[in-house]
Amino acid sequence: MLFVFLPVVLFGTVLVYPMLRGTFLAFSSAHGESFSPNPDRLSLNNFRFLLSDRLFWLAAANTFGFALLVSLFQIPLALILAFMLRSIRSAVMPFVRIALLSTHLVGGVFVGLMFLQIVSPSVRSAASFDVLSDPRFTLLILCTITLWTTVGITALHLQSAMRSIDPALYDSARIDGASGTRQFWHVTLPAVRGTACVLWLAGIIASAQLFELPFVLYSQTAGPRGSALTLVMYLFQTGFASGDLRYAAAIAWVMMLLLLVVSVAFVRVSGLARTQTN
Amino acid sequence: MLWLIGRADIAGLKRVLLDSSWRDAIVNSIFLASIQAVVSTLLAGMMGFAMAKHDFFGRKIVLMGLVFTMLVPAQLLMPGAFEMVMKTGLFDTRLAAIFPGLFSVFGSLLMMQAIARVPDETLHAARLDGCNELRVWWDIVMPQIIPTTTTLAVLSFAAAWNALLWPSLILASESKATAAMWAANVAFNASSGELSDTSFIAAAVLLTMSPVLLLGLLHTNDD
Repeated sequence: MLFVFLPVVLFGTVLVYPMLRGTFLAFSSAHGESFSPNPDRLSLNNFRFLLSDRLFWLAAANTFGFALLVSLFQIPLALILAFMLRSIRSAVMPFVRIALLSTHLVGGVFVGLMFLQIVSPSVRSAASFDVLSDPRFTLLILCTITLWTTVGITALHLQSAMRSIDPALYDSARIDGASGTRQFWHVTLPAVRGTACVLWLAGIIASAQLFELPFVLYSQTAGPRGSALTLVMYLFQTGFASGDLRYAAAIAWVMMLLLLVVSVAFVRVSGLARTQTN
Repeated sequence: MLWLIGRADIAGLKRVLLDSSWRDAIVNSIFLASIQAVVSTLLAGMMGFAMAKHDFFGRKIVLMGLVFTMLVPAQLLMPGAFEMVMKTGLFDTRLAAIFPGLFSVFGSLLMMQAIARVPDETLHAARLDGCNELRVWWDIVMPQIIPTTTTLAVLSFAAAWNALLWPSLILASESKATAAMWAANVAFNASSGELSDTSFIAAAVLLTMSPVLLLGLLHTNDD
């Protein structure tokens, strides 16, 4: 039985301890007071500073704006793509699969480096328009690249959900004269609602953690007028670049709270809790 | 993506292959990602087995904890974990760089679902025949979930290969840099204008992406 408990205990310690320690750090001492005689006394000063920290709210606005925009397009595009995949012959399927999966496997850093070749004027030979220094384009660039990365694997997940739909439903819809679009709307969508909602929520949470892509694209800065500053990047800068671990912990905490609020709201609105639990 | 690959000519490829910092980075990444793939899959398998086939006291709480950890951004763990690394003097060690990645919550839940589908009768039979839990797990359960296991291993490898945030925090020596860190460095030099060798960059992207893509290609999954 030791074998059974060992992984559980290991997981517990490795995951729980840093979380608790991080919480303690967030609630301890004041921002910038790490050298005071008693830096470990409990205090809300980190959070008080955070409320007035313009950079934090800029990062939060950037991040959630990004997450919103991506989530608006990610699932609908993936659904349409998955629906189109139904009619692919099974001989071609493995290639289609690897093509769709490859964009996700490649990962933020390499995708960033790849797209840097397209958008960065110092890399491109014909530099007519520096799109990276225009703050109006930041969101568009980041969203497009992220959608390019994630729609493929999301479509694959949805496709396997769609495969469990009874073909008789499609047949009867067709007999009743339903076009492809109507079949999609009335047969496919209701059936994959559960999976789609889970993927949607996961997508929002993953989007909120955006870091590698803007880090690489904007050469480790916050982008033009700070438009590429994401929450995780701000956390990285404050916690590790400038060594204020306690404030970084506070940022992480508030980020988690904001995400929890969004998640709970999402679960409520989508009625996810009403679908069967697994 | 194919267009970008076309930009990498032989000269660029040669220059990347001859770059010793690239070679170090690739070797580091292959080493670290392989370890993470194998160990995290095994640990997730053990965790999934414990959760799926044993009803122990506190199991529900552990399950809720796992789901909660998935909902919560990983960055919540980072300040505390970083402090731990500094305190134990494991800064700039490869061990510390992969350690968090060995414990995959997503992997555990995936394995838990896969193992739940293994029929209980096979487990009972094995236990009756005198197998201890380790053997039940290794000889009976794991062979039945090989597709899920390989999928998880590939995803873990990819995650380790592409990870930037944590390794950047932990590893300071240049010799220990991972492929992702090396690529980020290339990107930084490229956009600051120091590095303008476009064929080098294109070749660098291609060569550094390829191990993960190859692994994905080799692994065909029927879902």
